Amino acid sequence: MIRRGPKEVVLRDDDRLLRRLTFKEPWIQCDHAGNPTSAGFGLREGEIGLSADLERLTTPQRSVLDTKLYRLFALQVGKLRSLNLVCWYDPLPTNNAHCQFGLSECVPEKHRVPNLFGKAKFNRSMQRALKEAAVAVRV
Amino acid sequence: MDATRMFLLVNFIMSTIIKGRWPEALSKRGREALFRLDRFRELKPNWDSYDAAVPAALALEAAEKFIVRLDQKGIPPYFVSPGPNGDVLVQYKCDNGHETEIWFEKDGSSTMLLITPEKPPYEADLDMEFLMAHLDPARAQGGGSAG
Repeated sequence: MIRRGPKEVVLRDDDRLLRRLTFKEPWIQCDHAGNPTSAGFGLREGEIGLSADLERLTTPQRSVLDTKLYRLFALQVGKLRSLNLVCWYDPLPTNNAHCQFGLSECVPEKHRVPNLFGKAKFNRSMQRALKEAAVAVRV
Repeated sequence: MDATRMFLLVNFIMSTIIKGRWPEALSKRGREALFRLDRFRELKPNWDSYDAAVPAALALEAAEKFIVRLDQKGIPPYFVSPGPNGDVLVQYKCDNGHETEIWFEKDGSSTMLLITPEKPPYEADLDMEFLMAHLDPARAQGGGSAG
């Protein structure tokens, strides 16, 4: 049976998005201390946003896929918005908790917001800011 | 084979490989970083579950040379990590709280992100003089071997 989620979900500032980072030796995106590295928050070429799962529509166990390969980190939607990023619900047939976050000018028109704080860039500084905002989630 | 023997065997193989490829004396962290970089070549597409590309040979080679160069100046790397577009991150942490992220891109270019506590990060194309002043201000001001 295919699990069907709500057709549209409004993301609140206090929502959290869960993102997997690879930690399996030796190609890990978490350092010796278990902290994420900026490399885990890079935008792929041709992509408009980073993928994550909405915490309230999934469980850490489901989101992490494989605890031997991945660790789970949470990013608060309010924090992402303060970085001038837009978050939107983007369910997949296999994952009804799927969301994305990215730059406003790159995302689908219906998700765009007025840019009040100057033009943000998805550069290395943005990746670093995401790394610092990420909080480890116990699975 | 028990875990201890496996650990010793892996360490032996690792040190042999590194000694063979890099004859210069390197710090333990420098050797670890080079070993990890070498293992990045084993990655398959989608290694991060979000469709990441495999690290590019050009990025890996540039990162290796950079790590050796700085290690020989007494600055070992903190960590290395692959990015999603064939890029490679080399991270440095200093006692003075300064951090640096050097990104080696798949096209051979490189970017530095200099992080100083209480200040916004500074991002620019890699500039060795500027980088050394950030990583090791005392040496840079004293006109030592940095450069």
